[in-house]
Amino acid sequence: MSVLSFLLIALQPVNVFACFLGAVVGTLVGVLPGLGPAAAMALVLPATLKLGPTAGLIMLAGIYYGSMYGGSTTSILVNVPGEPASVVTTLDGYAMARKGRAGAALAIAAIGSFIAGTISVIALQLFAPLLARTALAFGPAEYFALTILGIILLSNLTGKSRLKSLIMILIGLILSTIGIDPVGGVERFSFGSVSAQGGISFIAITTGLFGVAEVFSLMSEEKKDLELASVRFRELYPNTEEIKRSIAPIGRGSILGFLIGLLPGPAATIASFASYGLERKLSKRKEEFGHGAIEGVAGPEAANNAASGAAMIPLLSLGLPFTPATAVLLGGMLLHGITPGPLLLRDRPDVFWGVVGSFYLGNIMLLVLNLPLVGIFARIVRVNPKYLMPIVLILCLIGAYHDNNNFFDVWVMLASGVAGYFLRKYDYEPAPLIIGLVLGTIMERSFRQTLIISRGNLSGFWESSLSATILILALVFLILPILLRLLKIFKFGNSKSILNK
Amino acid sequence: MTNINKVIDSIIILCFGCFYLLYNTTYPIDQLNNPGPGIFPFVVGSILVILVIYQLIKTLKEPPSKRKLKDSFFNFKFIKGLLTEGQKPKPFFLGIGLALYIFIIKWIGFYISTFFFVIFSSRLMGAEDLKKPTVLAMGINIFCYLLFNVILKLSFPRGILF
Repeated sequence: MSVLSFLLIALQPVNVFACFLGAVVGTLVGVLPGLGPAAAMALVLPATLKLGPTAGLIMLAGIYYGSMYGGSTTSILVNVPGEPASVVTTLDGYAMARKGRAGAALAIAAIGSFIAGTISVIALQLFAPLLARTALAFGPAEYFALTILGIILLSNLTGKSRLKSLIMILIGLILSTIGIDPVGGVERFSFGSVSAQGGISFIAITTGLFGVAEVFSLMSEEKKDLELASVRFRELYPNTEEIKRSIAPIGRGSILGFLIGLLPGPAATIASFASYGLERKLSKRKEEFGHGAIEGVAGPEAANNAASGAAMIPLLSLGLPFTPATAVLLGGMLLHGITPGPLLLRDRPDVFWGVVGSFYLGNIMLLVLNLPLVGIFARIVRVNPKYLMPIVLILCLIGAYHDNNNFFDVWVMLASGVAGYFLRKYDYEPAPLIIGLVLGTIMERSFRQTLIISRGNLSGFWESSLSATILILALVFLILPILLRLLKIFKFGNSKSILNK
Repeated sequence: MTNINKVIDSIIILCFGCFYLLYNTTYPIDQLNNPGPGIFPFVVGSILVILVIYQLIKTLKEPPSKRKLKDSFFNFKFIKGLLTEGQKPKPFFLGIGLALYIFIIKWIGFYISTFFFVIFSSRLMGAEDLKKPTVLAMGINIFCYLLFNVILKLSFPRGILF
């Protein structure tokens, strides 16, 4: 049988149904904060046993990438990220919604996700074994260098004070040290609290910093009467200019997201932040970022979808899950008697290509599902805040509680909300704190592992050519803005003295 | 943002950083070839303290703002303005309400406490009567029950009734 005939396995009625169900559940899971794809996949795992291996895995995969589509919806509409990977979408997506362009933001997010998802599936098909081997070349020193590069690149995410962003990243790194130490297993900074031993819940912090803090901020703004003029159908969707401005960011986000997605860890989240930073740097309209730049939605949404597609490569070709969701997918495969790895393609090509084929199908389904709903979702923004904000608060609470079924996380959410409110008053952006929180564990683990491997020798951090290259890049990005500023001052000083003469 | 407020926010973060470093002394740093659990927090905490001190010095070197101490954070009028909107209490009371709501969920259950909290928060945010907030509260409870209990099989804390 040819590859095409295996891909067409995905079009069998039972597989189409499984894909559709997975996509719907995944979108719903993505919309609701706190209910991650891993938890949803674990919940439906027993049900997939009745469907058979191919259909069951197609459904699980549908939940996985469906959640990436859904995560942007609440980010754009109410500034509450449904998934960690959608945090950065709140920066410009929500600003667009407040300007009445929620529909355009949602549509571009859906279209960008579709294109990026399709690109990552094609790349998966073509490059699976080669790319997985490259990802395995990253050791602790390379990972540490990558986290340093990430921090420096993303420290100027919002374009405001770089110093304040760095301070927030460091606070995020500090928060990531709460709980069990990732190398030695020592309990740290929990102050005797059993609930804090597992660390600070990411969902609790993000729902607090973004959702709850936003509600507090809205309450302290001057009340304006909401204009309830009718919105014409064609205004719900992106205009020609917005589409034109989104094309390049979607392309760049897809490639960047795919490459980052090959690495273990919260790749989708990191990819979305990296894409945002890149788009901001390349944009000719930097001042729009943070105030409703369409590039700030298109790029990150493409990146996070591409990263989730790329995460399937090490799973399918090497049997290595790099994220909690792919770990559940691996569990599902084992339950169905499928062993992913180098022999999967040879022994069960129907499963391998069936799952790959379902990605194409699932992306189309998600686009078809999400685009018509844009109009309905866009109207949610126009609901009066006195009715909408209580719903937001309840959703944030549910999300924080169900992460670990623990009230401690709910209190963390409230504390983050209060802190987020005051941080905004003092011009500190919360997004960099999330970067620190996400990167903290990886950074510490790779830092200490590098020291152990190199026996305390600091040169271990730049011994390999790959880590040295990454560190040099990080240094360049650190010094470049300072040099450019000095150059500007020098040029300005020169032109001033010429004018005086 | 006045200079004095910038100074105060730097001092708060500096205190946080110093406390973190001080508490971290309870964890061993050990040797470089076998780094202990205290090494990474020490490095991060130290960098934070250095950056905040730099920010503080930079702020102190700026030209003094025209606004005086009486308009700063520690002035009661400023605090009141920060916490309330005009004559109506807003963020502060919402925060208190949210804390109470979280506290009582364990005792009286999710659905009852959510019902009262939605009405309270909706009224606080400007709802004029009780009818719409009550309908909203009931709607949220029904939605949560159907979606989370029935479809997703996720339970909420139960109280004295349900």
